Amino acid sequence: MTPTKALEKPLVTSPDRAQEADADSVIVRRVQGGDVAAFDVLILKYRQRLYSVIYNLTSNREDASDLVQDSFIKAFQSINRFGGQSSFFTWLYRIAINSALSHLRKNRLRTFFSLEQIDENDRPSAEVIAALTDDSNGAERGTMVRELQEKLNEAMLKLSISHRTVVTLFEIDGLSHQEIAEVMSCSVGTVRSRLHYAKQQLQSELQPYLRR
Amino acid sequence: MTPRNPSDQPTLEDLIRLKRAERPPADFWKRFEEELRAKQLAAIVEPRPWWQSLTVLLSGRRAMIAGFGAAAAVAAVGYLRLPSNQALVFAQAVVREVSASAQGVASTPSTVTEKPAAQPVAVVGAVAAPAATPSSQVAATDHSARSEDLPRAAAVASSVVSPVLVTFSEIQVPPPRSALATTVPATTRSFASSLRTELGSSEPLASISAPQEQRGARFAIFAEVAMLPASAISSSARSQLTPRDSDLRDRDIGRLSAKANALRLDF
Repeated sequence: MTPTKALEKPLVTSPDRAQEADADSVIVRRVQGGDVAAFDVLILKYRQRLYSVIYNLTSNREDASDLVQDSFIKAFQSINRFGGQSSFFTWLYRIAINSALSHLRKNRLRTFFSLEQIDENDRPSAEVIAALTDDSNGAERGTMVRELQEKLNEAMLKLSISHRTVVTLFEIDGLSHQEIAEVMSCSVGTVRSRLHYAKQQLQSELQPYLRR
Repeated sequence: MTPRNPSDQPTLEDLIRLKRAERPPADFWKRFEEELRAKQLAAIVEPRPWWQSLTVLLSGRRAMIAGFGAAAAVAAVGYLRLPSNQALVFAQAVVREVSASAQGVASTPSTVTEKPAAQPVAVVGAVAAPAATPSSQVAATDHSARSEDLPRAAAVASSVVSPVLVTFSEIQVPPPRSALATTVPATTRSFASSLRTELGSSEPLASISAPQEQRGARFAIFAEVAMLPASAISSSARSQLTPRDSDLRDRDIGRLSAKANALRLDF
């Protein structure tokens, strides 16, 4: 099976996003009104997505877990100051990304990373794994995938923080250039430029493992 | 380990797709939830720094209310310098003095009854509305209209008056004429210290000679009178409550002060 070249980005269309924002604002108002338990709904809704982004920025499970928890706590403590100018998720996302960037700047030299298991129910990734390991048995397949994961993580950690952030937000979380520019407080041109440079860097780092 | 032939090698997009499919194990979320719950509880229980509470308190309309409140409090404190405990003693003494005099001179109005000092009506009124004393002073010391003003004075003393309103009412009140009423604000500062000294000795009145000390002694009598029923007050104590010309002179001099190029008159 040939892996598809086009990336299927989990982009959320505008109407869906607006609907999601409306639903969130109702919950936020409940929390602001004193219904603390309603915040659990927001945690359950966004924890996976936030964790995914922060894990890919830090490449470390424990750090990502702590940062996501701290982001939720910060959001919970400041929920009364949330005025609804942006959607709740954008607000929460900014808190999380800023916490992660601050953490990365503080621990610039730390290169310890951990690996997560690949979700076998995820169809595109299952296709990739199947294509890579056609004839190999289960153990061999697992070892190969793990090695590829490690190489990619190493290559990612060699990128600067800003380049890594752009790649993560665009390729992993599926944000648009405009949204990344807003989150990172830079221009769309800068986002495009950083993305291009980061991909080149990853290509060259992973040269022995990639198809030309 | 690498793929065996070049066609099996992944592209960068494939690797990114693999990365996107990475998920933590199920037990991770259980632990995540427990840790988050603990942090959330700690965040609720942990006291915030005072400046954070201040920013929450002083946000929006509350800031305006707090500003007005602070301004009103400053204005009230600026005008009302009578400490509440002394105001209590003074108010009780004034009510008693007036009611006792009214009993002696004319028939007392039926609305005003002589109450022992231990009863809380006058006490509560005076504590709640120390600022009402200037009005009650005027009413109580105007001898020509004493019987008419007596109920009003008692009513004012027992009602709760807003500090802001009191401040303005005090400005509009004409200068009191009675020495009994006017000596009180002028000597409140020296009263506390002199009273403390006098109460410490066994015979306070015997050692008093200076005018200020005499006033202090009279305030001590005020306090004594306030705490006793009218029938128990001795005639010597009653005579001590009358004003003296030397006191009035001394009071007026004390109210006048000069600072730099400014001349100041304290009311």
